[in-house]
Amino acid sequence: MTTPLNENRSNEETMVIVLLDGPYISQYADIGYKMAKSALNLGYVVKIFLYMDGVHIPRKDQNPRDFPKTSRIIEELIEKGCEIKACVRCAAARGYLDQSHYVKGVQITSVYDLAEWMDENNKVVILGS
Amino acid sequence: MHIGFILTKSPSEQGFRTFIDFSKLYINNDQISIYLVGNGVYCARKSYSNPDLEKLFKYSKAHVSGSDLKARGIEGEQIKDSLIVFSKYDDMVKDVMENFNQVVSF
Repeated sequence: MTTPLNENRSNEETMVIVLLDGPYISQYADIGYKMAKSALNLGYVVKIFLYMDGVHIPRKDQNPRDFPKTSRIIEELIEKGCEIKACVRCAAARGYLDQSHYVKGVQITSVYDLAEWMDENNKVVILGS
Repeated sequence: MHIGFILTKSPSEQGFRTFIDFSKLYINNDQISIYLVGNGVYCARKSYSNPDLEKLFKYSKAHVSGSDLKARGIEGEQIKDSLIVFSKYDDMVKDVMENFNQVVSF
């Protein structure tokens, strides 16, 4: 699969955001979204890795009564060119056995992909409790 | 080396103490910038006193998110004078991407 590109991107600088918490329980999905959106708008490459309970964030068919859907903000980031991967072991442990549970564009991959992202001299921001 | 800290924890949350201890490793040798976002903005209140944090703010450039302050009902006059209020995450993202050699988040 080819890496989606941010159309606004002006350089190769990459921000990697690791999200550890699920939606609606803490501030981190929202902070991650705001940072990613800002970085994409500024022309940077943005990659998000969902780890631990963070794998709940892109689940399809969420219907929170009083909050914006986190799956929708994930879709918005993907539309802007953000690459989003979820840890396969974390996802399987929580019942997400394949990508059909997620909004389009989210990949389920090995945690070694995160290691590669961290090894590429990228700026890594880890958000979670 | 220029180190950037992103603090999302209030003083009562797990991780805040680690942030203080970790920052002490850098304070004498490196340039430090701090961004208080999310619950981290509670550290910006004048009414919160912590000698370690005061020292850290004194020897660093500390910023606090205006929108996160507003979301928590904290007014401008309630925050410490030395802090720089930023209105958009763009300012923080540019610093992270362009100016910091290393970024550490708590």
